[in-house]
Amino acid sequence: MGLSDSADTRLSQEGAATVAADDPAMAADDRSGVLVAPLQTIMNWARGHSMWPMTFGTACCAIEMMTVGSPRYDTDRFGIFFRNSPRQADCMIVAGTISLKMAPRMKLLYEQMAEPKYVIAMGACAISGGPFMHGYNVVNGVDQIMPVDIYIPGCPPRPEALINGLLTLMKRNAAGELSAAQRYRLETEGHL
Amino acid sequence: MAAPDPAHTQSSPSATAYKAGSGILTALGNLVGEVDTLGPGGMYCAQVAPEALLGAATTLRDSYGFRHLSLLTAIDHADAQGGLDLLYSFVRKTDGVEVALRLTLAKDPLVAPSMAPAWPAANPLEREVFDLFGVRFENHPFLRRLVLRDDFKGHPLRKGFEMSPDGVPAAASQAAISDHGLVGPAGNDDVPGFPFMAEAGGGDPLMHSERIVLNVGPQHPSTHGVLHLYVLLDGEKVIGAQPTQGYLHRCIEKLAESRTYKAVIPLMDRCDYVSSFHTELAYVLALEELLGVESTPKADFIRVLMSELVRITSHHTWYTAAGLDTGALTPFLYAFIDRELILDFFEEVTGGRMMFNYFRPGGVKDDIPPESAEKLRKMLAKFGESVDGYEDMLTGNEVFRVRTRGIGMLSCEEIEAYSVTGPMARGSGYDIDLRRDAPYAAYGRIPVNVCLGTAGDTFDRYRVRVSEMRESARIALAALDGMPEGPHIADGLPKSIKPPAGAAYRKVESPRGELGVLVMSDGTAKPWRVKVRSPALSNLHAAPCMLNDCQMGDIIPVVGSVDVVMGEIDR
Repeated sequence: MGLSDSADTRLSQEGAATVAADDPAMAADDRSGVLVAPLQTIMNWARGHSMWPMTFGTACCAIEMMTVGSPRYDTDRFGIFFRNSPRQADCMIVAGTISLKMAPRMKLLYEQMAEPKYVIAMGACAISGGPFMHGYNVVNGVDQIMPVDIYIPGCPPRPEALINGLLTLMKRNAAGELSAAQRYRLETEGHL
Repeated sequence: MAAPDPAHTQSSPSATAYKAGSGILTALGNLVGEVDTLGPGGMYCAQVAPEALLGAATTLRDSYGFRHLSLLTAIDHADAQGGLDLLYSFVRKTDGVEVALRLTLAKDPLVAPSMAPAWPAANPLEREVFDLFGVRFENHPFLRRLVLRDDFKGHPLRKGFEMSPDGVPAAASQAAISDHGLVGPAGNDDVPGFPFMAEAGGGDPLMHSERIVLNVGPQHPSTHGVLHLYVLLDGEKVIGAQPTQGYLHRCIEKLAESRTYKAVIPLMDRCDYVSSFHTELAYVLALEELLGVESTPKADFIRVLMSELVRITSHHTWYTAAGLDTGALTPFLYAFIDRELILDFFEEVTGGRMMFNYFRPGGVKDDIPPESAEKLRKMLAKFGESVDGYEDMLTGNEVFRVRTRGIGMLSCEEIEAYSVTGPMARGSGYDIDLRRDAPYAAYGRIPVNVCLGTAGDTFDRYRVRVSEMRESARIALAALDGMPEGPHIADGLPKSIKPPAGAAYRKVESPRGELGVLVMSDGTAKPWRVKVRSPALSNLHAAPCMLNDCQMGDIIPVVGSVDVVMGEIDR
């Protein structure tokens, strides 16, 4: 089924031209609306414009994480959709304190995510244990367990801060930067 | 301990209720020993011997009508013998009188009689004391750690428990991810297996069905935080359920012991993070009772205003979840528009959206800016229309009604047996509300209408909470209009707080029910013990009653109607 002279064709022609205008590595074929670029460039472009975080809210921060999906903050406009299953998610927002009892479950969910995967440590507890860091049951930062891409300080961070964190991650992806997990793997294997 | 200071008792709302308790405890005769007060101006408390505990408790319940077990906790002596006090408090519904029993365990090994067989509400509370203090309760049906991992070493709320100064070392955290920390019952008499697990396997012979155990949570999109349920299913029918918890145990009670009194308030915020003001308020009220100070009249009204507004935001969060649990996303979008407007007001007054650190002994931190009050008044005047909108989305919604009516039934007998409080109790027509029964802050000066259901199903619990949103908006408006002029915090309070030795236990009506805070002082600048009585913990452990004979798909809406906040349950 080829592209005919329909509204669809015009849309794809305009779409391809818009995308290509943003990136010198891409070129748009004017007649068919086909985008010509190296595969990696197109993948980076897609990853930079769509981010599906998994809901992993354990405590107070989870309420603020819910709030970013609400009408005032509305993350849908950035291509950010919350997913409930780790298998559909690109990134894991660790929103809240991780106790020693929760830690194995968190690691299990992280391992169920498909590559490339990213981790956002939202709030003081996920970064360092926060107000509970001296306790006997609190993991002092999720980066002791898995590689973290973005740290968002606050107790809890404002919804704007979480949006900023997600956008920062998306910008990095668009620029083709390595995820923390990839960097960690390359480092441990001696490639970096 | 010292007799109540007459100047203080005059205006303390609990003073008359406390006084009546003294006579009742004395009337128990030789079941109890010496009767004194918990602290200056505090509740009456009778010493009881281990062998007389069950007799005294059941006499209080059956002969004197004290059917509500409010508090069950322990306080470490930190003496050479390693003894501790167990503290129980009981409330009579008819007049709100509260009495306490104190059971002293002089030395190791710590063994006490269990109340759980006679009083189901004691079951999770005794497990918590076993977990955190190491007290063994004889004849307890299921004495297993409640919040910590089975492989945890020691009992952290004992004063002798050694904490690493920098918290959990990285190596220990990394070691913890290798397994779930569960210890099996086989070959180890210390860890009993879950009671109904033995029934798994055999199903209905006519249906050729098989019983299976389903794990719900702790990370599940609709479990309301990190709740974990073991559910025993026969086909799609639920025949048993056991909540487990502790995935958000953040050591709040232990950390409070190493901070000054004022530095505990931010920790209290993070206990019940959906309605932070209530935990703050209960703590500050207990501290004021210990110190013998009173807040200013204006601060009383500000406290009522804030408590009611935060109740609305908490019910917003619950209403959102109630919609999502039954497959409706739209309620979330509308509820969070209004929730943001209230959070804006909190931010203008306290500086925080969720974590306020706002109440102080003697009053509140800052006054309310007049322009914020004006904005809030306009918002509250129109709030009824918003609630009409919420009701349009769910109350008459056929799907919602079919999935909630007649499902998750809770009877008044179960409410008393499990110490259920708050909207869950009121949904079954059980008429309790601390704002009316034992008024604190300015509640005595503002009439409170208690919203009641009749059926005791998930739908009536929904209706109670929606009516409470309207009622809270009305009370908040009344508090705003009736707010007297004057200072927002009392003068002449010392910078460093050192209450006299003693204990105080004060309760507030949180969106989940009776939230109490016990503060015990040894006369130094840091509290000896801070205990939060979690309403959601007691409510959650009544969930198995509600889930029996439900279908699998009803599990989430029924558990959602408990309105759990794990931060407060696990602490």
